[in-house]
Amino acid sequence: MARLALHLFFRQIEVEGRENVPDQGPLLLVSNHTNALVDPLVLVITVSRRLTVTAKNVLAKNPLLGLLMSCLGVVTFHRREDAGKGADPRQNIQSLQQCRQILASGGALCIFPEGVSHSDLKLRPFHLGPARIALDFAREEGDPGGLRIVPIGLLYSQKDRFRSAVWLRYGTPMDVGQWLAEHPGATAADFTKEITGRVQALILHYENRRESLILSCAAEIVATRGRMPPPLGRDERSVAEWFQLLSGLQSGYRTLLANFPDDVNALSTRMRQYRAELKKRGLTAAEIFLPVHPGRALLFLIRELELLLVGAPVALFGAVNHFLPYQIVKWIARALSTDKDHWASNIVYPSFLVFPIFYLLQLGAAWFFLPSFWAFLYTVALPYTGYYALIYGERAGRAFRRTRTFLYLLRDREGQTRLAAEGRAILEQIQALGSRLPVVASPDELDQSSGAPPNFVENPAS
Amino acid sequence: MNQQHRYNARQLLLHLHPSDRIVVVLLFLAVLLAAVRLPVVGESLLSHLQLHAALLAGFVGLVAGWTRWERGRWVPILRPAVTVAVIFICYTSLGKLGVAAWPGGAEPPYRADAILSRWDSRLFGCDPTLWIQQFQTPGWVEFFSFIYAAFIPYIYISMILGCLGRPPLERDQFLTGWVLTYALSYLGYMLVPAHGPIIGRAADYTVTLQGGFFYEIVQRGIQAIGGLQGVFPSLHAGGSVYLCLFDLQTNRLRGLTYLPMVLLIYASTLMLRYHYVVDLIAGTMIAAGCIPLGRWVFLRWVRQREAGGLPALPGGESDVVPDLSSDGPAGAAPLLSAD
Repeated sequence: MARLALHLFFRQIEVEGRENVPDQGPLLLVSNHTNALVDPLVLVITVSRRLTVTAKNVLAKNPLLGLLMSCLGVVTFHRREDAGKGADPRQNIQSLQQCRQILASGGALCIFPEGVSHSDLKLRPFHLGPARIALDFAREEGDPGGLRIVPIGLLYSQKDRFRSAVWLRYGTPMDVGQWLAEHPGATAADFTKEITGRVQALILHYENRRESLILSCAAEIVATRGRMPPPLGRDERSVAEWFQLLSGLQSGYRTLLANFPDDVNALSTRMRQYRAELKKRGLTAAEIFLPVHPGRALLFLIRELELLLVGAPVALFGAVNHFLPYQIVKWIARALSTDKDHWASNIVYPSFLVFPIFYLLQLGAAWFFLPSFWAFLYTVALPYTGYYALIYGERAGRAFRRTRTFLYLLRDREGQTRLAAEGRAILEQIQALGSRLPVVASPDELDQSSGAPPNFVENPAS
Repeated sequence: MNQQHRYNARQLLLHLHPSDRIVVVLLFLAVLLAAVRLPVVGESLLSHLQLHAALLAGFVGLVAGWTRWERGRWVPILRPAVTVAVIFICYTSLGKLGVAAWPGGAEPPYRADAILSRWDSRLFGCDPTLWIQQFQTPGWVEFFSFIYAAFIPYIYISMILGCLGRPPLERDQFLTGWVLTYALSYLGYMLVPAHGPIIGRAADYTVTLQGGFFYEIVQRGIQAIGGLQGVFPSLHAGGSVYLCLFDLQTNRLRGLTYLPMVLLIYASTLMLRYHYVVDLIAGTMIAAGCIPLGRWVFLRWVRQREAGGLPALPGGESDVVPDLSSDGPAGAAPLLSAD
């Protein structure tokens, strides 16, 4: 059910390094935490073994969540900052003991050492809990089975948006026993520093808001490659490629900023102006390269109209039959969400309850009132049309947007020519700056040698 | 002659698109069958022989043209358009050839009809085409006639639009697999001649089919092509399943749109008594198999072209060509969506 819910919520769930998760033996998964209760769910559905999740105890105050947590055997921790909300940090001794028992039985444990879900540009300091669990297990229990720690990077494209994407990166497993042998006398703080570094290598870590904006702006321009956007239905950008592009640009940006600050700042200003101009026209960097060609437009029109007209009855049936539960879930999410960290959780978890209830009611009514044949047909059609309506809506939205863009560009050919030329000029400038980088290794080499994000800044000279 | 154009056989194959080769082989087999059976069956086969020989000659001529000028901008449009047209002609001509070529198949009850009907009965314990009579009310017959009538134009329009709108690599894989589906099915038409339950089991039906406007259109259409000849395997099933499964991999919304149509087409061919259930099963299996097979055949050719120093794709188009080292017909990887 979680798998289904997440695959409906997210347009893409891309997983890297699944083979890094050992099938058996004690295992500690350590991840960054940016999307509240969705994070553990994403991990649970992508590993092939049973995972025990840890969470703060205050979550269990919600009766439904508490029930779910006890059903799933979630280990709760009491945080000091929740002391006024019913947390008792003294009880963490029992929680730690529970964790050690799980590991001793060869189980897998998942921990979010930041302790809280957040939207910061960089990792928050890790709590010492995971390090203590690992060190205690290795030193006091004798490390039976050989504890491994797998660092995880969770990257969301837009975590507060329905049908966004997530890239999950499992890093290289760390043999705790071996690490301790290499670092005798290491403290929990040392070990925490090591884990932090490994998780940090898997995620994007911005210095400030400006850096984040400049890099996303540059990535949008680079991703266009100065070419026309792909046809609808094939225009989904791989979330992994997007983040790889961003991290490649980031490493190049930092090096260049240190060595050529004037050039980088000038380019940054130019890119921001370009983006502002596109935004004023309601266009994206890719859309400016849309060809204004009557033949292409006619083919587009025929293909899209044919698809959307033929699919309209199915989509309408699906939309009507799912309207109420969808609106209820949306209403719950709006009512409960105080920040964007919890919006996805407030959609996904209520949908576990609301959709099955409505399905039961609808199907019960169908089997009660309709002849068996029609009831069977309705039963089969309900999930199919629901999913169909979802992707139909997305496609219709994109087709509408592309049509609107085409009409806009048709009216302003001069503006398109100018902006497309500017986009290509910026792209060339980015590439020219990239060529000044001392070494541009292949993505695989960089990834394997240092664990650092790959450098994807194209170097025309290489 | 210019040195560049003196191809040896291997070089020639590097220029011959797999879909062209399949169509040429299919037409050659049709001509061969007609020629071999002509002395036995007599003059009734002569027109079939002439038609298919003319088709073969015409197609070979066109293939020679677009192979010689493979970088022409018109090639990516003309090849699918002509191929779809030839396949469409074969849809009506090869069934007739199959029935005419085998003397036992000239008069009802046809041998293959009896076998297909027996398979149906063995699979389901009763004959599904007789069992379905209880639902054959005029309203349902009319509804399914509409589905059946709409299918032929819809599938060919989808084919043409599909070929024009797809990225080059995907378009050529699509065309190769589609042609393969039809070619393999046409072998069934030629070698397993049958007329379908509407004729094969005509004496057993207790309900007379009655419909309205669309039913009349379907009846007239079938009469216009000389009656039902060639039912095993079902290309209504095969063609629609191929479109559906291929697009489920490359363009999910389009694939999901075809899904209910596939089911309706299954139901319509049974309801109108044009197919046995084994025809549908065979058509579905051929289509499902031809997706990885077509991909493998096409990409193998692309690799051979690259190894021979030619551009990966004809027509001078550039595209992303995936690594072929680990895949094959059995375990083909998902199709790359390239722009």
